[in-house]
Amino acid sequence: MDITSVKENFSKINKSFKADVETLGALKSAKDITLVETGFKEVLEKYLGKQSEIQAVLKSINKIENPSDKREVGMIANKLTKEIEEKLDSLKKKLLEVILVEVEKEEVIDATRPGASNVAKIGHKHIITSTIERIEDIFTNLGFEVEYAYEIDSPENAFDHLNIPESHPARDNWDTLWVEGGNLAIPHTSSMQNRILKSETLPVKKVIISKCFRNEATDATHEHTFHQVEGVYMDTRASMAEMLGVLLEFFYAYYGKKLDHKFTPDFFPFVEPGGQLALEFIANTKDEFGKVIDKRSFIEILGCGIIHPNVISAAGKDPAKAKGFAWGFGVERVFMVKEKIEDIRLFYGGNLKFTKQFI
Amino acid sequence: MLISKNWLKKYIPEIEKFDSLQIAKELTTKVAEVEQIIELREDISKIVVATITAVEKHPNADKLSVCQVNAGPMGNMQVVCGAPNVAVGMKAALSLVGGRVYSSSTKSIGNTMEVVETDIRGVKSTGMLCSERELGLNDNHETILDLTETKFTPGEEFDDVIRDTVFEIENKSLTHRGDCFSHQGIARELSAILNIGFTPFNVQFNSSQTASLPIEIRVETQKCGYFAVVTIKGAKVSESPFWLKLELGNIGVDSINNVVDLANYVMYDIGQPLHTYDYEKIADNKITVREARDGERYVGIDEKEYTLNKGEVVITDNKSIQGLAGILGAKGSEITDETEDIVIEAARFDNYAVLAAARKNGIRSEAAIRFSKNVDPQITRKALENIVNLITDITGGELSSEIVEIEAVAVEKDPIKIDLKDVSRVVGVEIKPQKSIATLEKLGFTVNEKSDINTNDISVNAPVEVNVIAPSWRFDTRIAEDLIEEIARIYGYDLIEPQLPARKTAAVKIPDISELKRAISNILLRLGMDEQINYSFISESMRANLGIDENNMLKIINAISPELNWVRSSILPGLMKGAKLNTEVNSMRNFSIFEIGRVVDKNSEIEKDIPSQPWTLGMLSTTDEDRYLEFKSQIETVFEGLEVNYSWQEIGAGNNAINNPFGKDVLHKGRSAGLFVKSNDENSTAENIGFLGELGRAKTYEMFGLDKRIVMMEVNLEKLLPHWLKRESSYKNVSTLPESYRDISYWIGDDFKIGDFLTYLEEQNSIGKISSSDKVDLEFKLIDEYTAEKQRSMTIRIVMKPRHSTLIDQKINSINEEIEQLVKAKYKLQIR
Repeated sequence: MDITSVKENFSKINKSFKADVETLGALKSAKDITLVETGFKEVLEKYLGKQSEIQAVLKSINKIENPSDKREVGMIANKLTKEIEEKLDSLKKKLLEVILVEVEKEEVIDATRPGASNVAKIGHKHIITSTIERIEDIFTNLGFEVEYAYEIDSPENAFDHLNIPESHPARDNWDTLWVEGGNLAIPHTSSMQNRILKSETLPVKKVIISKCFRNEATDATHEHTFHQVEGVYMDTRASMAEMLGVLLEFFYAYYGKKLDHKFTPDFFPFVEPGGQLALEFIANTKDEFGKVIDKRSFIEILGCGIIHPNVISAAGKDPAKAKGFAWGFGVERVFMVKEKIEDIRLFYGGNLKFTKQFI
Repeated sequence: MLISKNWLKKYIPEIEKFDSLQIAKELTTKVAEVEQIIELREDISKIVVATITAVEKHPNADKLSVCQVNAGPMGNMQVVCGAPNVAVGMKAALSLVGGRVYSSSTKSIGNTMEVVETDIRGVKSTGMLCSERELGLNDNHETILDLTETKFTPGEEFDDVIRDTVFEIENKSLTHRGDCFSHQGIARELSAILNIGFTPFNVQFNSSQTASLPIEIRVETQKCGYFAVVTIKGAKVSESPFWLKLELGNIGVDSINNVVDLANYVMYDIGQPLHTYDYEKIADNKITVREARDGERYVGIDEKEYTLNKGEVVITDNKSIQGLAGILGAKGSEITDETEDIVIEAARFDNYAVLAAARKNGIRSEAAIRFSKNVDPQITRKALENIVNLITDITGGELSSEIVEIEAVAVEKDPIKIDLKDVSRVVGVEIKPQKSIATLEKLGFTVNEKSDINTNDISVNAPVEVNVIAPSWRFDTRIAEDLIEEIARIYGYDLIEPQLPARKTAAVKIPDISELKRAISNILLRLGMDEQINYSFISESMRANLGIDENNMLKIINAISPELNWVRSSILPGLMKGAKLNTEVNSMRNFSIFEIGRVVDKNSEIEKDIPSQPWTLGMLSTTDEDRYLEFKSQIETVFEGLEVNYSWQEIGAGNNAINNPFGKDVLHKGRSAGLFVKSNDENSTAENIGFLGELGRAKTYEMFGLDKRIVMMEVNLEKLLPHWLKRESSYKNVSTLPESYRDISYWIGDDFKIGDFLTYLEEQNSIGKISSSDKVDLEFKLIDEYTAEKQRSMTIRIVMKPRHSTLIDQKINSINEEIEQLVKAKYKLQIR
């Protein structure tokens, strides 16, 4: 192979490349990225691709006998390859800079409009579930184990073992739903107390959570289904002060702040002494002149007390040696006063418009 | 219930010193909630009692009189008055100049006006003689208030007399405290709370009979604990005296006549309801207390007719029912202005019987409230003695019989033994034994052996035991704990300082089932499914529509709400209801919901006589197009996320098979599969824990419309739980070596189960039937399934991931060959 003709050939290639580069430069006004992409790809393929003249030369380089010629041809070919690559790269970059500015101008979006609606959304946990999980977590932090009640249980567990014998008129107050065969839909989570007090060794620290039921017609403030959280603490000693301590600790964690409380006597057959705890909530309301004011009010939140000796005896324990306290509150109530929900039926109505308001 | 502060002074004079707000707060926190404090006539002033000494006609006005009045130390005045009842010698209420009275105009009720010296048609008037409306007593403005019969003296301040503070007490919380439904009872409580002197009610009975009216009684039921009557002859039934009208009026009780008012007065004073009859209307002078027969009728003084139930206690004479005992008297025998001779009854009835009868007949009466909470047995006779004194005194009637009574069985109360040190232990604050004793005694308890307590030397461990006898009016104190509540209550629950129990440090975790519920819902939520919580019950129409077998569900026997006929045995009916609601009401399309809750399996037990109530997961997807396999894929994501070995199989007929609860035509015939899981232990076999199915096309059309698809899955979480607890992390070292795959396509029959086929290959691999399984991780995937010209085919991809060295073709071929052999060993399949 003749070195001179090779060199001539290279210079012809170079000349032709420059012409092609000029053509590429004209793509500037095309504002079309695809055109730029294909144009540059074609030119690159033409000069450096497998079928290109430079490749052809390099493939036949072994036919050059003179070693110094061979080296020179190799160097020239490499140099030309590098020049072509660099030229194409820099030109492409320059061209795109100009073109993409123009493209952006055509891609203006009203960025304040909402995003597209056809994308997948996350699901929503039911607010009762979230609330129960939070309650479970706080009480486990306080050292209480969590247990779930049976929704269908015996009258012995729901009443008799809890110092509410069959003759007791208070039994009517619960408006119990009865099922065939003598069992009932539990009116309160206290139905688990006897099992727990019977089977556990001291100290007992348990929280019982369950759906509970009352035989009621539903309206905005009445619902035949609700969730209750029962607490049972039993040790060789237990005091009302400790009961209050545990409960206030819980509500502090749940509401995220200390709320004033009111603790007053109350009567429940399964505790003695018995009490009722109210917490002070602040709600925005309007005064008689329409001015927004903070209205502070105490809202009854739970019933509690020292476990009645009859309940402890019923569980086969000696009331002289085992003392305890217990409480019960409604999950919906605790949540409703927080969110100011007025219609209790929303919880179990199945309407996803309600569910989706809570993450 | 309304309690008058003035009335309380009769028992606790020192109450005067206490601020009404403080009293209300103390009652609220220690006895029962005070809902309202009503200040009566607080805005009138400068009103005194005056005697009219002269009355002349007004010279220039026909209807006016010019009165000269004497107001004792306040002097003599001339007052012009328009009332027709002014008369010389009359005592009246005079508002002095500068005083305030209520406006007499009905248009401005409650507003006050100032009394000024004025000239009325040429006659000077210094002050004003007041009507009852102007004094805020009642609406009467025709006449001025006549105080002639009272003991007030001229010049005495009168606004003070009629001013009062009334506490409205919420009575629901006083469940067992009949004694608190009286001024004496509330006064006793306040004396203990405020530590002030208390004078208990007492009566000096004047038993001398000056006339004779015979009366006989007979009690035929155990539900009447005590019954007594007495007769009064020649009573003059008329308007009540001023003091009586005032006291009753202040607590919102309308005045009827002096006899009825006095009976009410005694009830509100000491808590014993009394009943008065017109003696003439009691046939044969004989009163019988007996139980009613079913369907017996009587008309109450409220003029309503009641149909009584068997066992309800009635008061009868020889002809008819004269009252529903302790609840409501009968029309006809009540005291009227014509009555001259009176029978008065004081009794006690079984509190539960009164409660039940009042509820059943829908009657709320003041007597029923008190009887149903129990009345002090030691006050009943005293109440009768008291009213006899009052009626003879006020009506001029004469006692005309002795007190005829059926002697009550005296109930001795057992002493309650209490270690007073337990008070501090249980309440959690230091309350000294002396303080506890003082509180109990203030409340009327008798504390015995208290002298044994050495006040100076109460050693730390020695108990301080006393015996306590509850007073006759307390029915709610039987054990030491009841006494502790009494002491704690009066001490003040609000003063109890919260404290945390001395904690033993012990880590606690939530229950396993709760962990599983949370793990599942976390995945479902990420998949975009919304959670529901539905009722645990379903209606009969839902049950019938879905063909659920009645023998598999518990029936509710007394539901008020028509929705509550059955206890649910499946989560899915609730989800279907939810899907329908949101489709119809919220126009939602293409969404998935789930619920985790208990269902009841009537046919198995978790404890003796308690049915199984497994936690169960239900999922439902509703779409416009057929997305069965997409939903199935989401479910697979859940079980992959839970890291349990699962497989899909045909639902078997075995004992443990979980079948859908629905009737046979409810689900789609060709789209049901059973979900099986297997633990990682050696001997574990796959267990059926749930089923997947699509609602049949006809049922979907009927319930949702032709253009809907409903796919559902139900999983028994109690069955899943043990497998999940044994799960092993699916973590494998991530190899950077390139993976290879081979695809094989087979012709398969219409009944061919791809799930079984894949499970078979996985199992064979896991038990080492493929020789290089220790060096290469294998995965079997279905990448295509189609039917063309009635020929069904599938393409299986075998993914091979080398662990240690790059796979060479030879190795790939040998693995492929081994798999071919395994397939051949079980299936006769033609390669496509």
